[in-house]
Amino acid sequence: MTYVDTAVGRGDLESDLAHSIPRRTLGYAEGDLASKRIVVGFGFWVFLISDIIMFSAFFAAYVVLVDNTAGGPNGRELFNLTSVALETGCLLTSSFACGVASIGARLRSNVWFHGAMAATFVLGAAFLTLEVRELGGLVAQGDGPTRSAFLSAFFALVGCHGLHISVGLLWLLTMVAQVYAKGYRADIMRRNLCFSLFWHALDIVWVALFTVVYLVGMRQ
Amino acid sequence: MSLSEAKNHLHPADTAPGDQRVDRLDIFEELKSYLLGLGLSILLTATAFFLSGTSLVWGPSIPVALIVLAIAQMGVHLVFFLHITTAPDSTNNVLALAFGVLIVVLILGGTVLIMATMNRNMAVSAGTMRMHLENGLGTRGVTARGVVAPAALEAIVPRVSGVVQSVDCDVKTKVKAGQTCAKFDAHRYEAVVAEKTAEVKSARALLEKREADLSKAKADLERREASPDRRPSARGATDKARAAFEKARNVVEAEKPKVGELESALQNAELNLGAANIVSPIDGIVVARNVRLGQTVAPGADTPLFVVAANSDVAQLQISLRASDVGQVRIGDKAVITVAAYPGREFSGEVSQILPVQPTGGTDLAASVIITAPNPDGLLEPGTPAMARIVTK
Repeated sequence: MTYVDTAVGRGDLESDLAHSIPRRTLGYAEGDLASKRIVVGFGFWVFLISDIIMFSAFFAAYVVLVDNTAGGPNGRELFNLTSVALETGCLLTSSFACGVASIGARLRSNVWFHGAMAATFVLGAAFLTLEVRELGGLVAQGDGPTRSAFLSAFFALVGCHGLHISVGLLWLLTMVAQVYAKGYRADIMRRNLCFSLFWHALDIVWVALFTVVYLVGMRQ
Repeated sequence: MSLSEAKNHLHPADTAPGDQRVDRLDIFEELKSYLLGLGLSILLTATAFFLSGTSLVWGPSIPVALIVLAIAQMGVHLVFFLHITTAPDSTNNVLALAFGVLIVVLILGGTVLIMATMNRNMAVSAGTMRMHLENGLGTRGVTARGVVAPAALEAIVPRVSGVVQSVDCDVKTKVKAGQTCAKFDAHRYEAVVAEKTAEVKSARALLEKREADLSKAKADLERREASPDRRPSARGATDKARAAFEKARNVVEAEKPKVGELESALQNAELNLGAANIVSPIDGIVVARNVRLGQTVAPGADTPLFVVAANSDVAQLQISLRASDVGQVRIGDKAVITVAAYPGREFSGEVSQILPVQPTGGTDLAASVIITAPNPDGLLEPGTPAMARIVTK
């Protein structure tokens, strides 16, 4: 472990470590170290991959338990593909809008950034509303997570994704507030990078989810 | 954006995930990438939704196609939204992703494989499961094989000798009392009966004639005795008539037992003729057959022609227990009997007798146990191999 490893960006090096590191080491590090944006982005990327690994465990549980309906309804009887298609459309365009927002941020364009973020939020909230309505309807008709192992696994998987979306929506609001209050500062842009990574990753999880749970489920 | 951050942004060696290659900061290029990603995603999603509801494609291939489409769309998201590419500046991101994919494949593939194998190995037949549930998994038991023993046996032996002309019963044939099971060649007995019948007929005719003579002599004697003629010649005729009457009476008396003898001989011959038909004396089931067509049989042989087990409302199952199991079994223990002929059906009985047997060399069988089971439908047929599980306390 060297100073080089612990350094997370040149700005930090200059402020915190400059006095304790010989000039020569610093010069060497300056030429080779990744920028803070890259390190933060990579770190968050690793977190997202671990999150996806966690989702894969929920997927594995669902795939194993999908036939254990305990005499209750199976996916074919419960799922409404129109609603799922709407949800998919919302989340996909929301993901696209999030990408547009990151372009807007790079352009320092308030119109593009805030406009695209608003679209991201509205579409994400629409997705969440549809999902909550679907799950709430299932619980209301007695097909809640306690009905069968299949429904337990279904609620765990879909609910976990929905929870991620909810957290993402709150994060989105704080990003908008931070940009509004503090402008397009480097640290805030790093956070925004992480947010957009998070949002895109949730869309990837949803692709797996609507395929494995809904589309394949409808064929059984 | 501070100067240093801008410089960082142009770092030549690496790219943050989500960032486009920073040395060409072309907004329109980037927008084009997002639009392309959106377009491809919409195309793939629409295809997936169409496929899931279609019957145009061979059914079993659809889930596979859906998974392939999903993986393709994830790739589209990674490349066009997350900007994870194979370019050298994205190596770290790709490596992390590859590791993540490896773990995901291990978790998903391993789970499905292991759980599928366990599911297959856990499969328990419904009958076994019910037996476990009914007996209680915790109760102990002794299981042994045996044969359903008949309640009462009737041996059919020949009373006459003869050549077997037909065999109508076999092992497992259900018979009624009086039902013919085999027939001997009866010509000999028919001839005897005919001969005896003729003899009886002629003897009876002769007897009738003698009796007619007797009644004639009797009438003659009575007429002479009643006559008022007391002359010596008349008296002599009366004595003559009396002598004739007595002679006729003696002849009749001598003839009568002869007829009786002939009649009983005829009866005997008829019985023998009847005995040429081998019939079952009782309702039941044939458990043994020792006769075959064309065989000559004679009375007094050791082996009966047939053995018939009587029908009964109670079946007895005789099983042999190992020495190690005998100690656990008590009279009155409940037992569950199963036979191969009625799979899944269980007959309940209880231990009614325990008969110790001398252990013979080579076997460790120590006792015969009789299990008595109600058998109102006669399903537990004598001679059927059966399995008994004695529930021990």
